[in-house]
Amino acid sequence: MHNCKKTTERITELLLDGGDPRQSLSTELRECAECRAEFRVLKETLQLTTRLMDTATPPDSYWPGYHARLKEKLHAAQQPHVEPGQFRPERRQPSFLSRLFRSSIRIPVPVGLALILISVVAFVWGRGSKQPTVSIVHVPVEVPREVPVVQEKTITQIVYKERPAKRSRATRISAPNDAAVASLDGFKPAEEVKLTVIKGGAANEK
Amino acid sequence: MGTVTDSETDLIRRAQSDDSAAFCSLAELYARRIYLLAFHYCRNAQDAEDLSQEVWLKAYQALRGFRSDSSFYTWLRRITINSFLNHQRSSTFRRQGQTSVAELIDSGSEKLLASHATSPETIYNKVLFESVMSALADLTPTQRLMFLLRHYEGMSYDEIAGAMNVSPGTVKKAVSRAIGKLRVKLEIENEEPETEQLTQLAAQEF
Repeated sequence: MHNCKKTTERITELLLDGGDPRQSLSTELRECAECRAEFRVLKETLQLTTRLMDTATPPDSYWPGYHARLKEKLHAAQQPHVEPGQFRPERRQPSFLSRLFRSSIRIPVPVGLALILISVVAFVWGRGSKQPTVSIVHVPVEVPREVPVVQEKTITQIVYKERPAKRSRATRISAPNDAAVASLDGFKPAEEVKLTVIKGGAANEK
Repeated sequence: MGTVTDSETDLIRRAQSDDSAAFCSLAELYARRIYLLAFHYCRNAQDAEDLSQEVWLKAYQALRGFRSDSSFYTWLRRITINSFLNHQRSSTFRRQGQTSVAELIDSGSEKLLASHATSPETIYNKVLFESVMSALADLTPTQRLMFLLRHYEGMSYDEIAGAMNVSPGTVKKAVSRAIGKLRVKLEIENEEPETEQLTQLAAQEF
């Protein structure tokens, strides 16, 4: 029974191997239009990619330079290569100072981390205890600030009210003799009044 | 190509005795194949040169271990695949992007300059180059490498699987996906001729 998927796989394999599926799969290709179309597409895809190989080939003039660069690299790679047992010149001993500056010690990672942590804590603690006493001087700084002003209108209205006139007692009493009471011009006391002030209480009184 | 010829055997023997000239002669035999494989893998001319020369340097260092139980090219191809995979893991391609047609013409590509610059063949080659390079760029590095080894190098699924430490099924699936992506990217039309002509065409073809 014809299976398009399996036929397509076989077409692919045959084309990749450089074979011709039209010979070994002639029946399938003749009878199935789908497989025939698939064969055409796969063939063209692989042909196009093969043509790229030819297109991208560098010219003959490229290769002498390529091989010259390769020789240089091979020569450079051979330089540090020393056969075992071959004479190896001794290196110059570095000076004490350069050894001192270049020397390093190996410590376990946890120990290193702990040391770093201790250093950080000590630094922070030291900074915290030495708080500098800085007198804070408040310098007034004028900052222009816009304040919203509520527009108020004051309307003053003067209201005149009629009030009833007050009736004074003096006026009422002295109404008939207004002229005599109001003025004391020409008054003279008629007789002298003698006042005697008696000191003491009721027991001394006779 | 698969068998070790007498001259090749002699070159290998001399190269194993630290004869760099003999090794360079060996390199001249296979440099183009390795370069083209590298070019299609990394899609950049300068990276292809660096990568292919790295393969030769590694081969030079490992040549003492070559035992002639396989062909020299098979042994070299294994080194090539390992170098490609190492590059893939480290992603150390210096240049991003692919070589354009203009760059290839500057380098003097044989096929692009073979005919007159404005001839239909040259224009077709340029369009083909761009489209296939763009299609290859759409593949993952692993898919691209497996497709190249299967299609250009003619390796079997088992050979590729052995070289890349994967199962043959994985290789088969990757190659199939790669072809699927390429045919979509290259926009190859899946047009079946008219039904009336179909039988006639099939009869002519087969």
